[in-house]
Amino acid sequence: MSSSKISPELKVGILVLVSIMILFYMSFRIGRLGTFREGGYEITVTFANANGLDRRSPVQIAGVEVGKVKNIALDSYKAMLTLTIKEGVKVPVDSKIIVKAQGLLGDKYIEILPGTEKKFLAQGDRIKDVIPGIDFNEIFTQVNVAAKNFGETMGEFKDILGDKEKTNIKKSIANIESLSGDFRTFMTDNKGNITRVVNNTAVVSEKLSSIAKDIEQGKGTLGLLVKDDKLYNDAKETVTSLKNITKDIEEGKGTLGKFAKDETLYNDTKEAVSNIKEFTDGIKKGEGTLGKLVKDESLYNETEKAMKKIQKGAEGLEEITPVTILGTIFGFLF
Amino acid sequence: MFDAVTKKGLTPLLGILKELGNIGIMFLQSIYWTFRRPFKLNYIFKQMEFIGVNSISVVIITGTFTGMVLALQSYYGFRKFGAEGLVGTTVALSMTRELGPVLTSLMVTGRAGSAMAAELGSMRVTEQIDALIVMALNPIKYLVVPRVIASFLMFPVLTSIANFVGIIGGYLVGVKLLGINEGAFINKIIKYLDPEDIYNGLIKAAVFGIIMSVISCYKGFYTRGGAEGVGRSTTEAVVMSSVTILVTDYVLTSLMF
Repeated sequence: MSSSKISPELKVGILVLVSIMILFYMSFRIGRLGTFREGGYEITVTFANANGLDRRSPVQIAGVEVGKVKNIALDSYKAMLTLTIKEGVKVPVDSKIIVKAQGLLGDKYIEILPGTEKKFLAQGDRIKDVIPGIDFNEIFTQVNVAAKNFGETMGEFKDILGDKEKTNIKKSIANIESLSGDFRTFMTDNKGNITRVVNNTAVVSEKLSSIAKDIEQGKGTLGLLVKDDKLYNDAKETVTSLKNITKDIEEGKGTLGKFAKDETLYNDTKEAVSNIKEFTDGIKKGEGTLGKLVKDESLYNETEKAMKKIQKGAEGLEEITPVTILGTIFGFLF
Repeated sequence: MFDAVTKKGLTPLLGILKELGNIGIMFLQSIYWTFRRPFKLNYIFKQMEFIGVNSISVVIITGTFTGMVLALQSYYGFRKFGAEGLVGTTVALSMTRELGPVLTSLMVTGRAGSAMAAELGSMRVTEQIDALIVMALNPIKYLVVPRVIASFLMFPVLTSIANFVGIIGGYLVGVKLLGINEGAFINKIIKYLDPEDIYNGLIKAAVFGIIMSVISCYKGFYTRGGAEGVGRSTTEAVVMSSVTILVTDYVLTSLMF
């Protein structure tokens, strides 16, 4: 038995040491034993209601824990909180502060919305800009107050109605009654017409709605006009092209442009036209071959005769053709 | 006749009250003798070795598997709500507040409490206790006080080990086996576990240690009826200690948390 050499005291000592180490390790991991190691500076803030907040509730900036609530005290019927902010975290003086909850039922915590100032809060300073958080109790209270106000208003309204007002109201009601009676007779007299009008309106509106639907869906020309970008784009392109063309014309580019701008063409054209005039004058007078053709009637007459002969020949051919075809078919069969 | 019936009905009740009184007297006596010289430290260390050191393996196995099964069970529950991250919290809180102290106490009761009752019982039936009295040595001082002190000191030690290995077991099953997000597991433990949870658990364990040792010593000390009586008082010691521990646990929990 070699183990008997180890004394019970030593064994117990080792066990106790191990358990104390475990305890210290767990306590430090949980981390709230060592409040003394948390340095930092304190700032104060006053809330109208610190419901749900507790000491050690976290203080966060952008979701990062930067400190804890150190103390909650009552200060002239408001909750004054002392926050310990970690050393090295600078909070601008114009920062805002808000109480938030993790989810609807979650734990409450304090969020600091940092400001933009270059001056920072120091030990003992106070954040003044408090955004009231959403408190469901408060909401219910407000709804309650609103309902109460509504009830009071109704009561006042009731009080306003004196005897005179009542008779007036009664008269008004009587007037409305007679008016509605007139209206009823009018309706009965014109029942047929009204029905027709109503039916027509219904039909028209139905059609309108179907048209509108078509337009919506881009059906039909109007629909396309409304829905299709292509037409618009085309029109745009056309306009641009036209613009370019007119520009070119303006600048004297291209045929049309030269047409518009170049004078040589004009001169040429003028010359050509005068030549043509001379030429046609010659033809008119019967000068040259063309002139004779135009002026000499003998050629015309001969041509007419020839045409007539050709016509006759063609007619004869026409009469012969069916017989020839028949012959060919019979020859083919027998 | 009526008198006889009343007597018959009252006898067991009176017996229970008598036993409670005897246990209370033994408890007060052991407190009294604790602060009386001479202090027999080597007796105490021997008992601490027996109760504490020799129970380590049992406690570690119990604690580890309790943590593991807690992680497994709570995982299947929490998964329905998508809150697997809370498994770590559940394991840590259950272990430190309840299962660590209670299961450790019950296991050690089974191991050491039965041994105490049997040891003192056989001493009683072989008249060794009477011999001590004859030698002017107080049997409470020499037999009961070291056991009570050793239990009082060792139960929290064993409980802290059980807590630790239980959370480790839960971690192994939850993170390594079931694939729970490791950061969520550990950070939720750190966030929701207070040092008070651990310390209150240890206080409970110390109380359970006193209960177990006093009851077991009492049962052994007042054994009657030879070898059979020793067996009976051993059984009674374990059952009574366990039941009392569980009842006290409820009372302590309702007081503490």
